[in-house]
Amino acid sequence: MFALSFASLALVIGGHTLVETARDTLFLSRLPPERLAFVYVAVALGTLIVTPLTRRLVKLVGARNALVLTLLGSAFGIAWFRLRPASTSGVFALYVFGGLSITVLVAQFWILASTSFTAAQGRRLFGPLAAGGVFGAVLGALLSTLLLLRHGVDQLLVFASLAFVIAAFVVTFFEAEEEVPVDATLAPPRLPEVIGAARREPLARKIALIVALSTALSVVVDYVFKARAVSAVPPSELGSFFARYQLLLNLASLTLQVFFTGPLVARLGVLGVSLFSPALLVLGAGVATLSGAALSASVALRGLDGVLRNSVQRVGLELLWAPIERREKADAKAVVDGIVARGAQATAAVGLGLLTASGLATLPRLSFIAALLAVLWLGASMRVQKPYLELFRKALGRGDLERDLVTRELDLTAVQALLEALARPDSADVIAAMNLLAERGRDRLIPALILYHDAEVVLERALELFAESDRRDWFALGERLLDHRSPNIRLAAVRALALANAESALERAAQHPDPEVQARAALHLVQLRGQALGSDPTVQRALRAEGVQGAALRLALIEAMGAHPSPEASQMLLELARDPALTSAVTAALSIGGDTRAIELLVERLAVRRDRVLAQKGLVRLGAPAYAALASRLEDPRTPARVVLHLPLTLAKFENPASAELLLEILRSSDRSGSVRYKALRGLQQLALVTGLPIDIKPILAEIVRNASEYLRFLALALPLRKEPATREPTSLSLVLGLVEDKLEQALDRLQRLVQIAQRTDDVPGVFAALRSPDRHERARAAEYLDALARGWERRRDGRTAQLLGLVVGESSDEERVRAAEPWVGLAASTTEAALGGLLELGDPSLDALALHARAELPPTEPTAPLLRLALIPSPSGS
Amino acid sequence: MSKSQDELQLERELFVRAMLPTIRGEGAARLAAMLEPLEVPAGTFLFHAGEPPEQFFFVVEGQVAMEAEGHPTWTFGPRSMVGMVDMNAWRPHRRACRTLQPTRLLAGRSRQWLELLDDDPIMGDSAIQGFASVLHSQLGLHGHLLAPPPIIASELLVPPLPLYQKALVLRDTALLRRASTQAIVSLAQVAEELVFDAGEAVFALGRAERALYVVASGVVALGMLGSDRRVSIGPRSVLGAAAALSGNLGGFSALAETSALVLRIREEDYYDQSDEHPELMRAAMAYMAIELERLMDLVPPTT
Repeated sequence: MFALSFASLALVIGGHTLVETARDTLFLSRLPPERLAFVYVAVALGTLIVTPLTRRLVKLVGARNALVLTLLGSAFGIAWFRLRPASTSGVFALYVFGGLSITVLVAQFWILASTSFTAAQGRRLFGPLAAGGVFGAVLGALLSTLLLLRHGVDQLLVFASLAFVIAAFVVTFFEAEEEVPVDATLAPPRLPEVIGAARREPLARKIALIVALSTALSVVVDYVFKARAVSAVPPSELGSFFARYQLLLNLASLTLQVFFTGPLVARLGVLGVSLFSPALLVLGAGVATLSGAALSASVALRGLDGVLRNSVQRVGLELLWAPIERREKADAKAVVDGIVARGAQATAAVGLGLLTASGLATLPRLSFIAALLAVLWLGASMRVQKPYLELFRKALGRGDLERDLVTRELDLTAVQALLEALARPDSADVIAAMNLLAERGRDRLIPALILYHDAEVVLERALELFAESDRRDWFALGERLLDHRSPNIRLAAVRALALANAESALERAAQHPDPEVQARAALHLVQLRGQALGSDPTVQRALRAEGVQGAALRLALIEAMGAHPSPEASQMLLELARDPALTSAVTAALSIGGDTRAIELLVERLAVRRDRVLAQKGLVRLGAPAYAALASRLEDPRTPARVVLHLPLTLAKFENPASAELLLEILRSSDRSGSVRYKALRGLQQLALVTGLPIDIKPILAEIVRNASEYLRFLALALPLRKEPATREPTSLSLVLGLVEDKLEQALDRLQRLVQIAQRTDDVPGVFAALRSPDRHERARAAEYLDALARGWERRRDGRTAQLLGLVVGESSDEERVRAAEPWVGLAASTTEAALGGLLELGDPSLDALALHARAELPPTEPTAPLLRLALIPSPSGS
Repeated sequence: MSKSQDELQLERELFVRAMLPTIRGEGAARLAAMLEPLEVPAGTFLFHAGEPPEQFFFVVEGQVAMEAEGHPTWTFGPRSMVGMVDMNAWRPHRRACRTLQPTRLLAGRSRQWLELLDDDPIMGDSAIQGFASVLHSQLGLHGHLLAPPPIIASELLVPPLPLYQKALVLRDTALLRRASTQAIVSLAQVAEELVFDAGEAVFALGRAERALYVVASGVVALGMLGSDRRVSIGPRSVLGAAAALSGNLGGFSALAETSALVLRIREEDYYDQSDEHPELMRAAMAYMAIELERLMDLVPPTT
């Protein structure tokens, strides 16, 4: 596909170079340069007419067939001009025809190319592909130079016509993706609709502005160059002057294309490349202005414009179009390349015509206008980043819908629906509605009358919710439940009344005939009244009671102490915590109070899964002293490993700047275990998603580089193992390969989290999910999007982040990636033994254990290939 | 008047919360957001056997049947989930699903559901425990109908086992077969080796730790509270996996029938690893889905 594209573009541009040399010579030797303004206008207007026809043609017969037809038409037209007698009107018409045909041909070619290659392929291949055009231009210019040594300029037209015919033949071999013509019965969208669609798309608008400014600049620069050439070169030498000029120009262009455009695109990225051309032209036009449009400066400026237009600028523009959907792109591109470009050309030409007619078109003044246009172009290019990224986000089809689901306010209709659900016969519906109201802060809307409900589960949940609120309107109905037939409901009622400080209701409950209700009410009252716990007989009874009932009483006491915290209660709770059966209840009770003596216990309970959430809440409630204790436990070597493991996510819950800094420190630490660093990474991700706390991006970028390097290093080691038949048997080698594959997945997971921290407003998991999409265009868009993000982060850095990330997420084969990664991670392992050796050098204990055994199991071989060393970048977080 | 998107979201969320009460807050909202309402006439196939398990369905109203040739039909009514077994087992549908009445459904994408569980470890843990509780109670009711598990021959393992050998043992268990190697190796690193002579108790009734017990070699007899039945468990098997995952292993006793080597993985370690490696949760769900399917084949669900 690439070779075909290259050849056809070379032939198209080669043919056009012949036409261009002939028409410039014929025109300028017969007409004054001021007339150029008329042909510019004619070409522009002609393009406006031809563009919709071309678009219609592309839709009707497909991009490939449209290009073939246009090439054959162009060949015929050029041949016709060669055969008819030369005249002023003929020269004029030839100029316009040549301008129109190349405009249409180039636009059609790039539509075909951009539908045949993905965005990622385009980034890789459009640079070399554009070199095909420059290569053709060099050949065309060389042929012109040689032909003009013996023949007249009209002979060039014969060869141009021939080149177009051959190009048409080559294009027939194209395997265009959308070969099926659009159903002819479906009317294509009308031009106003297409223009409207193009206008609505912000990126298309920005590209249109860039195209308009750059086209107008070209018109002015072309005029300055030709006017200066006519005044400095005798008419008889114009032909060879233009031919030699074209040759030099295109050789320079080819050099740029072959040696610089690819690396430039890789280095600067799409957005950087789009700034490159206008920046250089600002410089060139500035020099031309200051030199008074001297011949050398005018030639250089025109050369610069020509060289960049056919190489870097073309590639940059094509890549800017990449995020737009293919069908929309074809429409918008037709508008921009046709109407916008020709409109700008016509406007610039009319302006030129007016200036020349009024005698104001001095060449220094026009050079200044060119400089001004270049500055505006540069400014427009600088503003393209935002819509470019926005469109990628849109194209990846992921919004931030999911994040605001739980924070969304309930409106009147929603509240009404939930209140209706409270009346449904199924208790599950009622509980769901109550939970939803409570979670959205509308718990006051749950009617106290719900306490008349038949279902015990509903009553229990309602009492729980009422106990947590500051409402009092349910007390009477709650007290009524103290006489409920179910002991569970009676206890739930006394608990709820106690937690809500309903002292008078508790006093009555303390006289209740049910001894359990009585005991619990008494315990709560002791607490509520602030009586001394140690000497209280009710408390002592609860502490001494045996059996199941005793355990239940102690749990009730613990809950009462949690609900009404006091220094004595905290002390007693800490003593009760020594009983393993009560520790969880004590953790829950202490998590509510504000006693700093609880810190130590709460930190210890981080190790226990069922208590962790409450312990974390309690620590966060205690604030600065708890934070300091956690930070100090992190440094204390005596802290149990399981507690250390859960410190990072606990620190993150404090949501303060210090926690962000400390988590970054843990993440970058080489002393911490992979699991702890992974938790720090997750903690930072939480902070990035739920807070606006600043997180220094430099260490995050360094981590992206480390993890991308690790990914590539493991990939290099995985390749020989994947080919090993023993990995498909239950062997230790199969475990090694499984572990390496998992390390690759983990590195990707960490990269995703790191990118999310760096780009906190985006749905990064969605982008990474798109990287695994079966649709290659979606994969390519996701990769392109990440590339654009990475280049945005490191504008003034060395570009390693984008390059390494690009290697990880790009579409190349694993082998290609490993080869491309050699400068960073060293040479790939070529044999299983070398791969195992490489794994042993990484210092991962579990990998070491498995790889050593696997190596011992390998059959004896010839002296092994030298172990190819891999660059040992310190292993990032990973377990 | 047609309902707004917000109203539909709320309706779905209420349904999800009512049906899966352990799912609350953001999890419920996200699950509801991924569901699409669907109304289909009787006789509509929701999926056919052999199709990939791309969707699952909540039955809101109506009735559906899951059918496969040579197998009893499963029938589900309102407040049921269909398509979950194959989704959790990572395999194409074994049965076709057809509506028996005009039916209202909520359809979800399997991939999104699994991503939801991966993203939210607490929800993942709840899902494991919820599923394990269902399986445990079903096994309590109908487990006696199942054929005893086959005891595979295995090499004699001599403690202390090297890491790779522990990992290979764990990888061969039905519970962990689909877990990542990294997760298995991490579990192998924390697995304790317990050696028992024939006749020695691995754990008595009510004395089991909150842990997974994996038989590495030998045979262990598992007994259940209130039942005289004992089931012999051979190498590369987990003792009462559903009970262990749902915190009900206390209702079991285990006795070494031969000399046995058992690996013990504490519940805290298991969930710590599951937090870091969500595919561990998926592996457990796959195992439990297949076990549940075996039971449902013996005792078909009806409405």
